[in-house]
Amino acid sequence: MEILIARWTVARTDANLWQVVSYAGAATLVSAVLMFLLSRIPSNFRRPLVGIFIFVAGLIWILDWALPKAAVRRASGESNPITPLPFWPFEYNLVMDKVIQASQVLSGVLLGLGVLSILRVHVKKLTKRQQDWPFSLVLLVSMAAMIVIGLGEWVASNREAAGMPGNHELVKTAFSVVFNDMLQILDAAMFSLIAFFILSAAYRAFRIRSVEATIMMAVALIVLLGFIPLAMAVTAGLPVEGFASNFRIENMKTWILLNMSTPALRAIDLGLGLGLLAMALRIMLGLEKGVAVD
Amino acid sequence: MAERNYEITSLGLQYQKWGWLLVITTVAVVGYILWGIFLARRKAGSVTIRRIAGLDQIDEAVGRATETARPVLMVPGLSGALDGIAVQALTIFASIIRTAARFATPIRLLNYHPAVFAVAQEIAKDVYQTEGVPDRYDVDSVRFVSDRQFAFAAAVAGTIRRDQVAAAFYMGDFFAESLIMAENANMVGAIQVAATTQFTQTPFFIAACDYVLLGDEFYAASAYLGREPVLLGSLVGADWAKLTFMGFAVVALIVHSFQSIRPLTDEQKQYFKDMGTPVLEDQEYPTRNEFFFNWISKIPRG
Repeated sequence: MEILIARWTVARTDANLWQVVSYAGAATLVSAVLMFLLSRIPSNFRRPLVGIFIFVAGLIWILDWALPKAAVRRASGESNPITPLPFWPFEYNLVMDKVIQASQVLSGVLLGLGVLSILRVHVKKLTKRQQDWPFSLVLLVSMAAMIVIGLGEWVASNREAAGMPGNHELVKTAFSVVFNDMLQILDAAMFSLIAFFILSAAYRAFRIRSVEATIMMAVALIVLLGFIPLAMAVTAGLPVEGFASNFRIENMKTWILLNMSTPALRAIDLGLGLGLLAMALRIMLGLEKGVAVD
Repeated sequence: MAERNYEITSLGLQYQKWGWLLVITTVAVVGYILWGIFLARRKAGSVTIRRIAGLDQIDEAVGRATETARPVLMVPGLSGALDGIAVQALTIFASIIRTAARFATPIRLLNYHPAVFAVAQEIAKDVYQTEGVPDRYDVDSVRFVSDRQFAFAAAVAGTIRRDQVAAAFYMGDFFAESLIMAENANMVGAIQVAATTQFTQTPFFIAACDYVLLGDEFYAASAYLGREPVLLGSLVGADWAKLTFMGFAVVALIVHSFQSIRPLTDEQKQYFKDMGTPVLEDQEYPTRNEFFFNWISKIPRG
């Protein structure tokens, strides 16, 4: 099994590019055959089959959580924890690696569907000259440029790593411009908008309209002031120890955060965890109802 | 057996802190949930669920969208895969799409992950078909947008602005982009209902949206909308688990209230000084309750 796994793990270099392509082709063919067979199964058998598949898929992750993990010492000095199986010739974490890779491949295939959706929506908008069609043009051009430059950079990096000749700098610079100097900056610009949105949302939330809103505003004000040195200076005259120290603004802020905010958030988190566990159980055991799982 | 070229220095890393408590607690919670489901199935109609205001607003929000002929926006969060959270979000959206299909209200279901998009597309198509109006289904109404966080946020904000959505539903995993979406929808006057599993984003949604499903209300939504005994029973089981944890919290409260306060030893003072923590000469620190921790330490470890 270890040998089989090792054979399937192919390093991505130009030397074995055709090997990678042939494996990918074979995997696609096998998947297509499996999907075809699944579509031919009578519908009353399809649900139990999918149910079994979901149960096994869930079980793989439960075993990863439950099987005892081990700290190891290797001659090479590596010390990554492993999950040894006493009755099997390989570790369970190798199984998990393959499962994670398989889910990544599946996501990659599904990304193709997503790209098709984008193309369908925006090409239609462009060809029919619908409202705001220039935005669609910008999107399609940007997407095409990013795909071409991203793939070019990947090939150039691999060729450079393999010591192959060629001018790799041009495409790498182009990638740096579109990714680091444009996309990342635009991301940061979107992120910075949050500061303004926080202000407008806080203004609406903290308007004194009811007793609850007043309490919330007062508490929020204490926490805000507790972080500001100038506000802390106002209560700096109070003693550091003793009963009066409780009225120092930074101590009030800490008390609110530790004794009111944190327990409330933990309670919400506990409820979320239990809800997710209940839902996972229902899905794994085929008890979940609704169009999303049917 | 293949030869292993390593030496195991410690086994059961994940059990070393809490011993069998972790396993026992998990098994107990799972047992509660399964028992709740079993009881609810045996006595159908015995379990009721309290009113959840956010879910009651679905019909009103879709109704307003129908009156104004503006679309209903749905965002199933930024899950990194088709996980339980995304499935739950899509289950709630199926109910919204059903109402929209009946009234021929346009929808926009914008997706972050391609797997979620693929399933969302099938669900929307299926709902329109089961409602007997397959011709009303617009294939472009369920879209994949981007799997980059802020590109997605920009696209959702743009859709909200351009389409002037009348109602917006945010269900699932949300992060920093939550406020960008919610504030934009607020600016166009949309009714907003949100539910997120990221509790750090809950305050933002509370500040910006009309209704918010808090914590596990999100997972109770499918039970609330469908009233299936199995789903209601699992809620009851989760509530028993919550009661158990509350019991633990009360015990911990009592134990910690009786913890001994004693002066630091010279060794402890030196330790804190080495760590760079200022220590007053006559300072007293609470130390752990020996009885409780001795009891915990006797639990067999993995």
